[in-house]
Amino acid sequence: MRCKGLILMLSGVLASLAIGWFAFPAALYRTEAQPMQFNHAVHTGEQNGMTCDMCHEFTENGSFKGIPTIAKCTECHSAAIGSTESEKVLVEQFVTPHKEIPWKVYSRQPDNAYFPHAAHVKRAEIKCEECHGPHGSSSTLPVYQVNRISGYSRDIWGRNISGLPSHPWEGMKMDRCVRCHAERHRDDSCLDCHK
Amino acid sequence: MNITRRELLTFAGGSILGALFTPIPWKLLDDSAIWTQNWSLIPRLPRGPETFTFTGCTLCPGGCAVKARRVNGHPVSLVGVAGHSLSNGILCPMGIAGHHLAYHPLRLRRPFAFTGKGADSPLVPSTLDEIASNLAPMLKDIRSSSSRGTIAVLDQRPGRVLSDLYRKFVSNFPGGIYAVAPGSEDPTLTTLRALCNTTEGTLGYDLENTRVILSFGAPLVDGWSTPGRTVQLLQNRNQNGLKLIQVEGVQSRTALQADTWLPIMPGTEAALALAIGGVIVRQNLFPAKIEKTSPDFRTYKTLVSKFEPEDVAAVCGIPSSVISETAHALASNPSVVMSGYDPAGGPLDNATETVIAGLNVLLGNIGRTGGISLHAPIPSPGATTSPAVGLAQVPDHSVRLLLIDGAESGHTYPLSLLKRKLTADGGTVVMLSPYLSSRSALADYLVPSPAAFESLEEISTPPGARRSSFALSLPLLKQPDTTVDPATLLAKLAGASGLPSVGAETVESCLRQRTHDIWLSKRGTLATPTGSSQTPVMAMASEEELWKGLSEGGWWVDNMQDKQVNPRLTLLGLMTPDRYDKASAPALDTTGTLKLIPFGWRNATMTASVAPVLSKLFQESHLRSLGGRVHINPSTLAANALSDGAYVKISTHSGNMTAQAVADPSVIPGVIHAIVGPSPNNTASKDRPEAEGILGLCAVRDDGSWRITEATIAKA
Repeated sequence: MRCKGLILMLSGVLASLAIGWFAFPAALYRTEAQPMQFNHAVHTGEQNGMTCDMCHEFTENGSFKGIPTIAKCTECHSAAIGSTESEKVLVEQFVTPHKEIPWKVYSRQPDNAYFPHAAHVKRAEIKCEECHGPHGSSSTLPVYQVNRISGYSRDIWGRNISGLPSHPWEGMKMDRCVRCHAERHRDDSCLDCHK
Repeated sequence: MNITRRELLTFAGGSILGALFTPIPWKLLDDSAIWTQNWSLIPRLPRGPETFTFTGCTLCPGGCAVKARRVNGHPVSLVGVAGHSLSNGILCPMGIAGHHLAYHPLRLRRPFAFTGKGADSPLVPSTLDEIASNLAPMLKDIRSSSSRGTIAVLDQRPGRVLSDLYRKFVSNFPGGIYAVAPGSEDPTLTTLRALCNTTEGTLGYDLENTRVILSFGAPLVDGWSTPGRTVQLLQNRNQNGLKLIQVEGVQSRTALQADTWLPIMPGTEAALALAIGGVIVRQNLFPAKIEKTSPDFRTYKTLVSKFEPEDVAAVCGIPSSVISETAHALASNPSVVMSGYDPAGGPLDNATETVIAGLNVLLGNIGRTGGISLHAPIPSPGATTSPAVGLAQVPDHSVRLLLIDGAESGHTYPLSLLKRKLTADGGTVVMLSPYLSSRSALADYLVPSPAAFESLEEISTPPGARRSSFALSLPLLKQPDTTVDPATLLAKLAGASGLPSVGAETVESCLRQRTHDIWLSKRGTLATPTGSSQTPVMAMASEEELWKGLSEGGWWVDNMQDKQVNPRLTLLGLMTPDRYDKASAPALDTTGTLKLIPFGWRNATMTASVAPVLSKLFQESHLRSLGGRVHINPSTLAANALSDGAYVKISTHSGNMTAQAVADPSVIPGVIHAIVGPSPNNTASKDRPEAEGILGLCAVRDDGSWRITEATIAKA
């Protein structure tokens, strides 16, 4: 009898662990398609040799523009370059009608979090890859998954449901900001990020 | 296989135990917390293109230049404008949060009428037409006869083109009064104007060339005129050699940053000024011409001879050697002597203001480089209008209908000062204001005026400025349809009185008129907001070019030469020597009657003019004391069996109230320094004006001052 109780209890534990580590993440996140594919590697590779800030540029006043507008894409893609499906979608659906591409942003933060790229990239000279990973050399966009409860990208928490990063660049939660500031002996008062 | 209840519970227990080792509880907790940030009720930050607008702050007469960062047209942050020649890139905390005030919980969003007098009377929604028709019989009656009282306009910020409109409006009524609110003008310059016996031009301080400033409590680094001007001058003391001597009964922020702080017993400022004057006269430190040009020099000389530094030192607490040194410093350098208008404590009494201003005359500072200059006012058509008078000079019980302007002066004053001007039946008060405030308790009709950064406004010459200037405060926020342009209100009231048009029906038309006048005068230059280029008005082809430059945040600054000052200057004006008696200076008393002195920080004297976000300044960081606290010297507290943090009952002839005592060794013993406002988080009184607080205990003298009131304290 005692053995049966132990087995039942262990079964409960195992069932929870299975649900918590496998079924729960699958239920928590919803996969959404990006409006089109994008090949960073083609742009940053040897053929074109572009750097991140050529498209993800800073304004004259130092603020960060973030995702480039269609006007930026049109500078090179006013007519189709090549014959890929993505190129066709870009030109026909966005460049020609001059319509912004509704990208789903992996690193979108809540409104109450203020992150100045200029202070980090220009002043602290932190490389883009330190936070965003080798995104610039990828040939396809990662799968975009949105958290059904919070509404933010899975990349904010990190791909690993445990919250423990598989790579140094994974996750964009506050603890990462705090840890980095502590390592670099920077101020970390509330008002630095939450205006 | 049968499953018993025990087995089911065992399985459930195991599941719960297992769940603790999964991300489920922890992730759900985190995500649901984030989910609460995204509720639809929570205001969203705008997203869109980022633009910048140059404008000006209208929260006080300082008129600092502002650079507004806007996202999708919505202002999200305000900063000063580096390179601006008048405000030097500085913006005070009030200005930085100025765009929040439109959302203040006490914001008035439609006209209201009080059904009775006093704070307990309910507010009833009304309309502008209803108010105008209710006032029509009274306005017509005042026009036909002023025997039962007249009409008065109280201008909170004189010198604007709107002020001219107010003056023009009241000039249509017999005995109509155009009064300026306390604190809207520099008290020393106002007094000097009387001593100079001049009505033309505008007096200003040439602080940029001054080497010694003797300030009787002027908050020079804490909200005086345009803060950027004095802050920069004092920051550069190593280069410009400027010395600041601050005479004040408490170690204020200005006193802390002064080269010398002279802690004076409040109420003895006149004795100190006369003792300094005595040293200057006895040692012939004044320009020789003063003896000939000042008709009352002999009277002054006789008066100051009674104020020996040794005697005065015993009364005011400042050593006689320091009094002599101060007199020498003033006489041997380009200097300025000024008094301070405390944003809550008001001016010093008239007699004291006169001898402080008289020191400038004695030192030959008037019209001298580094002293006090007389410059041309902003060009205006110069129509015949009612003369301006100070509120204190308005005859008591003479005002039947009072219209209070809605501009922010940054200062406050006791309501009893206003009440005594109203006719015996309490008169009728129409108040323009963006917010419900302590003053609202006096109003019969509340008319909502636009909040800061909601409408096109004028930034005219700040008090004490060296040259006349003019700029526009461009709106950053959409003005609610229910708010009323002051010029529109005047037009409505004029119509209700049967008057023809008063000239303009919107503030914008007034401002275009002023721009036209400046362009016609061909005076001055228009500078771009950052000061990168300047264009003489003379070189402008049309007034539209000037308007366009102003609409882009440009600033017009006059370049007219200083005017000649009337050489016949008096030292005492209309004051008679018997007003000054050093023996009457009160002795130190720490247990009986104390001196209650209200004080405040500009713009922070009323709840409604402080953005709730500034609670960080007042409550979380304790950088500023909150209203409802009194600072008292520890020895005075001990003498009255009180301790730091105790709640004390303060009693005066006007009543009593409870406040929290703060032991402050920098306060002179025998003095209660009472903080007036703000309460940034006070939204409890949303339906009703807040109580007047400590100002309700202050005794207002005949000259309109209320700086010192006798009070007693006891444990609450």
